[in-house]
Amino acid sequence: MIYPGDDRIAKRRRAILNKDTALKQLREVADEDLVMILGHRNPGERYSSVHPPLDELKEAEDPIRDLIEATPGAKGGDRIRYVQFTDSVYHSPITPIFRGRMYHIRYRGADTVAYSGRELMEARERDLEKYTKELLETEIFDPARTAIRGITVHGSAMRLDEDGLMFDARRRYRYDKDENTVIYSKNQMAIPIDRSISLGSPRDEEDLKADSIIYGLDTIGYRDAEELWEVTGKLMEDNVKGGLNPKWVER
Amino acid sequence: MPKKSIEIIKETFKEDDATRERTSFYEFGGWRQSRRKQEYVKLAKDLIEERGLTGYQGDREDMGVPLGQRFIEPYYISGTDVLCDGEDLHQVNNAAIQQMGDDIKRTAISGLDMTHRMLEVRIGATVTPETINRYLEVANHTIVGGAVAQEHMAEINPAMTRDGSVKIMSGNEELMSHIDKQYIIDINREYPANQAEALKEGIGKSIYQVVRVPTVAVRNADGGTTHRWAANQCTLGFITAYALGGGSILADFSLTSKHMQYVTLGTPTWPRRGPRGKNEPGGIPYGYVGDFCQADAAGSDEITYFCESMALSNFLYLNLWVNGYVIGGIGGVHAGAVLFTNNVLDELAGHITDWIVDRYGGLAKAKPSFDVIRDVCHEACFHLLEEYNRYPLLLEHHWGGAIRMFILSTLGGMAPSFATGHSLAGMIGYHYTGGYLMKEAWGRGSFGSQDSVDHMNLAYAASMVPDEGLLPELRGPNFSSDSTNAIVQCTSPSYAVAAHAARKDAWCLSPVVKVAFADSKLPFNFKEVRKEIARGTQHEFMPEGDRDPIKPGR
Repeated sequence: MIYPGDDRIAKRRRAILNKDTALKQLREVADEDLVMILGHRNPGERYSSVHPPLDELKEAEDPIRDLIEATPGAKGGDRIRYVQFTDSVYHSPITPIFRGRMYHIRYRGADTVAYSGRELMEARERDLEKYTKELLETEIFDPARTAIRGITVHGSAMRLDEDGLMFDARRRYRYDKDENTVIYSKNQMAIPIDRSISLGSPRDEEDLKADSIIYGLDTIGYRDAEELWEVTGKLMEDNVKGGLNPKWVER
Repeated sequence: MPKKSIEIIKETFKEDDATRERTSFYEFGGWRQSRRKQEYVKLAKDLIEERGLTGYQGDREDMGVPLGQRFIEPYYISGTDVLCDGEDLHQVNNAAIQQMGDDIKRTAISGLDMTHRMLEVRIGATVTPETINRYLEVANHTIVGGAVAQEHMAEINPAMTRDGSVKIMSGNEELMSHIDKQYIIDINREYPANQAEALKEGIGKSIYQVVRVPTVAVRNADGGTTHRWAANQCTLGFITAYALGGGSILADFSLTSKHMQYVTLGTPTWPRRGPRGKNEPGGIPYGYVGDFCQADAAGSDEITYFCESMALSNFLYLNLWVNGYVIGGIGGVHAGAVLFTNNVLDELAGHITDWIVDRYGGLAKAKPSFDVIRDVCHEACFHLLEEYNRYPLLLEHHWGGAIRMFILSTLGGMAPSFATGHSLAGMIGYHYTGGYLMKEAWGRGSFGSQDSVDHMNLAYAASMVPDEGLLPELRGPNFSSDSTNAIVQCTSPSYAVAAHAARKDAWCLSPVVKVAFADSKLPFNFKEVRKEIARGTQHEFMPEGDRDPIKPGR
């Protein structure tokens, strides 16, 4: 994976974007809990579909089908569903832009769009559940600084609350001091769920900073990422020159 | 350097420390913490009773998101001591914002040289200062709805059209000395001596007519009626003043007086973004923002003139165009407020100005180059991001990516223009900043696909091919790529205005448009944009174009 720079942030960005690098698992989320938090179906309920399974369909000849195997969700005819994560500027282990880039690299059949604080992913439902499970169980999720929010998503740039949790106007989750865990009582659409679900303990502040992929005064200064800005500066110059005359840009 | 903006934000948030990363939420009383929301809830209860239909119910948590889970901060209007609520900055709630837009929409400018030549050569009339005075008197009668050619006409209540006017300007001082003072926009009086000389030289000996159709005209229709209203009524004025008759000759004359040398402020807008007629905000090029704004005429320094222009840009393109036409409803008021509240832009612009002066020896001193663009854009961006790191309260104040991109892009456009005095350098820097810098520093941008326009515009930066590129000052929200992006539309004037501010130019795009907005009789004072809007927030601004004279009992 290509990404400029030799500092620890650049290295971590490259690792996240490299599909051959396994994401470290930090917690387990039961399938039933996952389904409840997503809120698209009830636990145990069959996947709803928009078309019959592919092997029951007679489709027109298409060479692309021979090149690309359909995902399990597509084979089953699942509906397209969504999951959306909000990432705090205070060192959520991943950020929207890198989520988007990572989704494109690691997940097949997914569509995504990056905002300032959140990243939406759409995929066939059983594919989405598989991807979401990895997103929740591994090092790129922190229950205090990362949140699942389908609606009323803001809070990423707000200060943290007393317990270090990212602000949520819908209060989908709370910090349980006794257990040192973050407990969800609502699904991603802020609809109350039948029982509370723990997504584990927040990571230590210093660990979050050590693994942060955000440049800044408390990690690696903006001005120190010299190679990164050399590359962006060259992209800018080449875009302007090449847009006017492609011959002015070296290949 | 003392940070006035941080002190203001501490005051408005009632916080004693802007550097703390942690705070409390959910304890501020919800919607009740806002004076305006309390007022609206009370008002709406009466209205629901009165109309027998439910309406606004901001006190109902089950209506959607519970309001006020965090602190709802009020805003100081920069350059003033006026504190207001966010609601006061919505264009529907602020009469000054509306009037600013109306005063632009209702402006019709046309050159009179061809009309006068037509009168003299084709028709055989004599044009003298006396006849021009006579014409202006008649035109000021017709423009507000007075009849001149036919006797059996329905005329307009003059109280409804009291802000209509026809005035002229010229660099020909000898001629202007013979024109009745009430009919001229006096360049010498409105501008500092140097600027006045440059404007008179730019306008030359030509005579331009500035028509303000009554505000009520554009409130009944839209800016598209301005050209037609002015053309019809002024041509009738010529017909009367010069006693014109006949068929084909009159037709030729009408065509000339109505349409030749007409200065279109805004082109008709793209159908996909809401088709509107001429003179609507979406068709106005960025360069005119610096010409509408008269803060330089009031003797402001470059930074203040720039900040006043960016405030105007926000009200024109965000409040009136994006929120008013393209989106409707509650729109995105908070994002643009960053350009004119709490002294933030003034202070950041001041920082980059000092940095440029220190590094390059002054404004407009650096030769435009990619190295200079990179240099100043990196400083502008990194300084702001560092401020966010130092002051989490400032970052919470700029809680959305669009808010941050509003100010970041503005600085990215301003900085290269201030350094080089070159608007193309500013434009390239603007899109470089929006397309790359915060995105790679923080791994987050603004709204979805916000940066796509920046990448496209970099590749088309130097193009003059239709639908690709244009001179920076002539680009605008109606420009194909920019038409899809609210932030780009509202903040792109930064590069156009800053380049000319740095060079101390007398105008940005047109000396004629510049002078047209110096008319001190306009309801909205374009010399003090932020003060006028601040008056609007306090309900102290008196607009024109309402229906008071025809309401019951009048």
